Amino acid sequence: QGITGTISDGDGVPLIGASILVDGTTSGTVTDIDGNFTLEVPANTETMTISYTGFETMSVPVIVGQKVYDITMLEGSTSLDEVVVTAQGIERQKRELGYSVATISGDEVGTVRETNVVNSLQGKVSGVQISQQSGNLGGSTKILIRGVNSLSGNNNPLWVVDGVPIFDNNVTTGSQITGGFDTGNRAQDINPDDIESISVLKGANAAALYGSRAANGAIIVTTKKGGKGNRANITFNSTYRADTPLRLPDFQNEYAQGTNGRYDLDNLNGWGPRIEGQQVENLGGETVALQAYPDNVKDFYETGSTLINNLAIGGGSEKSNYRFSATALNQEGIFPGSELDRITLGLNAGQKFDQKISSSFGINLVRTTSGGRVAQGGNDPNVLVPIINGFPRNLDLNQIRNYIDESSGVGEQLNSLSETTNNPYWVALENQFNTEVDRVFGNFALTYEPLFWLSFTGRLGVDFIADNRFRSNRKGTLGRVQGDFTDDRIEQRQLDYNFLATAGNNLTDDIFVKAIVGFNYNTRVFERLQNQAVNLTVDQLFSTGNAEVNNVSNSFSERRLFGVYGDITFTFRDYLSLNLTGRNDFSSTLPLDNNSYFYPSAGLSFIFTDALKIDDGILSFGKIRTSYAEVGGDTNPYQLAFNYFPQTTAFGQFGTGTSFPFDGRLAFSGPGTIPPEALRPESVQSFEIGTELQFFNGRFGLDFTYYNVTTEDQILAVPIPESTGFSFQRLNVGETSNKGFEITLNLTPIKTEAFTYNSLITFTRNRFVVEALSPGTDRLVINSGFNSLQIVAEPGESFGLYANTFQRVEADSSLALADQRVLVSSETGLRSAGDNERIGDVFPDFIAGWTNNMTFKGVNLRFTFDYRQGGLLFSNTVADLRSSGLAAETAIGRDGSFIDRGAFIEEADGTVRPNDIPVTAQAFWQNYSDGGITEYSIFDASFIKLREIALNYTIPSSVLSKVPFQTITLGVEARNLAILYSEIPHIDPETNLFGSASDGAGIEFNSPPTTRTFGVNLRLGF
Amino acid sequence: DDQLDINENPLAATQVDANLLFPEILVNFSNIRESELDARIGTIPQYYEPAFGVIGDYALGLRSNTFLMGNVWSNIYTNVLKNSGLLERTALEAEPGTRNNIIAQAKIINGLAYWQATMLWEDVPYTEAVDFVTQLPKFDSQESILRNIAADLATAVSLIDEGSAKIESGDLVYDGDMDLWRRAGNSLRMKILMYIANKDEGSVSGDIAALAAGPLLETADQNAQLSYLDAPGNYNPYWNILNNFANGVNPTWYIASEASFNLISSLDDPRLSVYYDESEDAATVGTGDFGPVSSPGTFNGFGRTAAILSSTLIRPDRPDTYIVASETQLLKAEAILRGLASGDAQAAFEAGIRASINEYDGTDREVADSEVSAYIESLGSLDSKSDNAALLAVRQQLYIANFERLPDGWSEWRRTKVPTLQAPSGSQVSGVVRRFFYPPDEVGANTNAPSPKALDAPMWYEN
Repeated sequence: QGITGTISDGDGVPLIGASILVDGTTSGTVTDIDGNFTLEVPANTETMTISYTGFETMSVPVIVGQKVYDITMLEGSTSLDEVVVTAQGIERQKRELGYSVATISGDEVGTVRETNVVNSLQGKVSGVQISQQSGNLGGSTKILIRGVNSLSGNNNPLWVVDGVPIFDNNVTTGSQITGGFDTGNRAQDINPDDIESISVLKGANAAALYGSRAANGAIIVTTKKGGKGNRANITFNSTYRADTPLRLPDFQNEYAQGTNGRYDLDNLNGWGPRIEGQQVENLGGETVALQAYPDNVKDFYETGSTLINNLAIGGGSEKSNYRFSATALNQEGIFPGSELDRITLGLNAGQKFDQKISSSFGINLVRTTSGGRVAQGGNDPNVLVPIINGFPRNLDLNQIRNYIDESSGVGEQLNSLSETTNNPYWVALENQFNTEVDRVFGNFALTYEPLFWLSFTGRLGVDFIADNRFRSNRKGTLGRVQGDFTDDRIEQRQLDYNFLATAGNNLTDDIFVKAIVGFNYNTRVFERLQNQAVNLTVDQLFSTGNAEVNNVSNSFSERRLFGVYGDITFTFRDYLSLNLTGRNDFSSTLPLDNNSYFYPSAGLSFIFTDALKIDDGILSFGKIRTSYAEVGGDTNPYQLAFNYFPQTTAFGQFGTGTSFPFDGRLAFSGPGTIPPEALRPESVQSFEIGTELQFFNGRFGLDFTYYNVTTEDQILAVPIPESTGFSFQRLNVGETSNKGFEITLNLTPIKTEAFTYNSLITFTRNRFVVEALSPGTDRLVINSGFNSLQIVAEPGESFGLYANTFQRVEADSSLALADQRVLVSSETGLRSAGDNERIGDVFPDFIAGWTNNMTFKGVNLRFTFDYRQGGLLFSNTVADLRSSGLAAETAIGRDGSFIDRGAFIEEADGTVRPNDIPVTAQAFWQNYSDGGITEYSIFDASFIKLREIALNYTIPSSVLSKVPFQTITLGVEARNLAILYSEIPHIDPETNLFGSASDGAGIEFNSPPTTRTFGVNLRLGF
Repeated sequence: DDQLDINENPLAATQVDANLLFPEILVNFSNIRESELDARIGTIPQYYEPAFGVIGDYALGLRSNTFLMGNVWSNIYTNVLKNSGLLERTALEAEPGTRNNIIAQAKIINGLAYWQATMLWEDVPYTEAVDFVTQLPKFDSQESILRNIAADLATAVSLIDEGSAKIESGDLVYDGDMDLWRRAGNSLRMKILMYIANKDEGSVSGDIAALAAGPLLETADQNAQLSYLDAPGNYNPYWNILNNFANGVNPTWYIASEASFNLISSLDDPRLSVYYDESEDAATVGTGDFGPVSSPGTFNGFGRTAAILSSTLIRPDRPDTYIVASETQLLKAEAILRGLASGDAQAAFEAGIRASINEYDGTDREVADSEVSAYIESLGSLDSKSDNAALLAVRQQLYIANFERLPDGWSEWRRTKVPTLQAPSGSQVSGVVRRFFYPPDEVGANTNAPSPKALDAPMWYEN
């Protein structure tokens, strides 16, 4: 009997290459480019099994006489026979894995397309914390899997695309504290439209074969390949989105600029008189009636826009496949003049040859240009956000829109806000920070299969980034009146070579063995050439010859690593699997006599429902798994020797630094970090145990994992007292642990022909503990240097955030800080400085995500919430808004009768009474939000966000018979929609000054606001 | 293994010549003093009232700017003292006696840096600091630090011998002139002994007497200083603030403070028109009326008519003066008046005044020698005054000579309390600020850091 049919997904999109197996036989087929199949089935056939990666495997009854089968497959991470891509591009049955892996389909990433692919993972994977670092176009996103393993700040997972590692680093131009630019983590170069699937390998267990770089987990991206069938599969996808600031500060609108109630144009704040229409001089020198402009900050921002167009062509035959994709992304930001454009070309192709040889290659060309990214931090004239947030409430934006006079041939700044504060339009439009990133990454693989059980694969991966950055201060910029520009050219190269041999065969009828041995060579080069050209003669001429001084500096580093590895898996009757691995690395960054380190792993998976033949209609699948792994680690290049470094500049506050040669003399300096003696490799030990359970035929799925990861001998540059002459010392340090559990719940409460409702809940609880420090040390400052804020490691505790606090009543000192009564001076009624105290833990208590997916006929609705509980954030923006009298809360008690009711006064006899001394609101808030006392600018960082909503409608194919399209999907989408809960006033709690490269968690310093996005999406299939 | 033997930084050196380390030490030390101290804290000893950023807050607020404190601390320890320590260590590893001058040069700058540190924070790490061994250096008392610096300077001067190697091309101070280094070393030592004498004359009077006999710095052209240049990249950072923000002129950002202006004005001192510019107000230009001045802690530009610090004082090639003849000679005059040394107090007094005014030779405010002599004459001889009046005259001259040498002027004021200063208006401490708080980074990392004292708590060496 011959049957035919079509297999499609819930949206009606045909699935190419879905497999159909006639149960009880070895015959089967796969669907073609249109999702069609034709199959000959024996007469006695009862069922056939339909499977496709990323979808639930189905059993379809074969009914005598029925010739046509139209089958809709359901997406799901619950698929039992799912194949996942693991380390070294090795595909494994998920059921045989001894560790937890999360897989996300390309659709989930692509539905609401993000400029930075990392953002689209938010809330969807347990054990993973993803935080956007700022609202800048192309800004970075931090991804942390199972907490921080390393105290060094390098906790980012390894990114792997089609079997080869790529760079995901975030190199900043300028200091992040004094006016740096977040140029983004480079995983953002991966085009969401080209992603077939993403596997998140959590932690050392999954990633043992990648070595130390994957000690923090690995994110394995598989790109889309052309399907089979000699028909071109063409898709066109177009998205348009509009961006507005998600949250702007709440301002008071009652008081003008000035001090102590007196109007003063020179003070950019809100401590002036009540706004009552009195006559004052404005910025333009006119006498006007004083009035508030409540929307002046909001009106400064523009509506950003994003246009993403993708065209992909794919196809292939039995022996070859091919896919080409072109994507254009054009983005305009919310800051005037900010834009980002990206063009991505991707090509994947594969060919099977007759001599048991097959090869494949993939190449991605990405060109990203951006302009007008906003600086963060302080001390730089281009840090824009405090200028904007600092608008006096009586500032009429129309007064400053005219920002330049070009009539003289040299642009002269108009309407600067004060003698030291630039017109923000001047900063935004004349002092742009421009980037041009050209990137090529790709892979080539050759496989030879001499015997059915034996294959050899060689794989070459390359990644090349040319990152050219340019920033300028136009002549006339307050703070850089003479004008300057900086060229920053960064080049990164990575070459990765893997050779592996795979053998797999049945040992007995019951035992299957698969063994892999491999060799890996990896080399990475980082080169940088920077020039700062100071004092320009001709306006707007950015030639080094036009500058009075050029400060050139360069840097270079190279590292190499050799690794040999082996992997063997025994599978007993398909339900019991044992996996053993081992790897030995040789790293160029460690001492030559101690540069080799070995690390093993073992994993066990047991599907007890199969073994015990449980199938009672309630529990349909049950697996328990456990694994143990070790990973060794090296360090960065050139850390071992005591070196003297040639100096090009000497620091001076406010950009007044000098350059060398100074009066013709060169200068060298000793290192800032004491180099290590007898450095040892780091060691991470990771244990996990978990279970995957499915009930009611997969309608309810539970994935639970408990893990315990211990890191020993971390190689760390530890901040030491500067009175030693050094800022850091590099050491093997102590021991830390991350213990936690992850839960993924997959619920399908409703599943009918017409309507499906699926809900995915992820929950992650990680407890980080410093188990021990180096002998004799009971306290280690991990990160510091910022307004007295310090992240401190103490044995038995998580990282604590320490800050300068206000003075407390001595008698309360045994209480928690929050319960101790604050003292004010009996003379001034103001709080005074106390000690540097632990405010709380830096890391969140737990994070959770909730994704809902509803499909009704052709309509699909998806929405995601995410929730972070605990942790701390210091906000400089909030502190500034308060001390400048602009925040809404500062409008209270302006008549001088303000009493700090939360505080107490100590009497001469030591007793304490409630404070009753009135002060001015200005004195209170300037004292309360003082730069040196950060206690009250630190907030609980918890939040709940409505992360994304997408509504898609697929036009039924019956309607489409008259148009040349096979599928049409229309969608509306929104991202970062709303903050449903937050303890932090005025700003989006999800931000971090230090960008993805650091764990300086929880510091906000003039970050651009994050954006809320609404968009529409059209997808056409030909 | 050859493939892995690539871990040597191709852009760094494993050893360097002393001439390459010295400029790093000197330029960084001066940059921090000019951009953080001279440019910003003049309101404390009331040489000027500043409009700019945190400067005003320092005296007014109970706390101060943590960046300012942190930057100065970090600069002194991780730049100046580390590199001078490396310089000295490297020199000591050479064959004994061959690098004595280098050791002397390093020790004198080392002493200057520690003097700076103890003048800002009183007790600071000294004996265990920058020793390349101790992880948590203990904080030493100011008394022991001052005595140790003095002893170290004596050693430095005794090491100077023309036969051994010296830093020449990297010596931005004296180009390797060891006679001048000897004078500078002696002068700094005498100053430090005078600080100790403030508390305990007996223990140092002999040494002061010996030092007063010389050789000391005698004239302005012998001053130990880092000369900035009127060239981009080599500008004095103090002026460069104005350059960056205000086209290189002082738009009433630094205005005259009552205490210093009135003293200089009352003595009819020719430095009045060296230190101040007349207001911009058309009605007063050329009249000799400088415009209104500010009382302590109240910055008031009077609508741009206030008397401002002059464009000679804040200029691109203004040197950062480390150890100067004017202060040295005036201290010597004081020592003689107090009977700590023998000699001609009047001659030292005159030499000090002359050296101070001569610091501006070559600028557009150069004062003619005859005018200087006339001024000195107008002050009357010290012999004609009572003991107290004579001492006051010398100390007033010290205050005037240290105008805009903030690290020295502030320190001297704390020693002499001349002139009498009022607590700045609106200040949250009742007295004049005497110290910085310790920077939070050091406090956080070093458990030996003492608990903070009030900003107006006197230091050990004060009376």
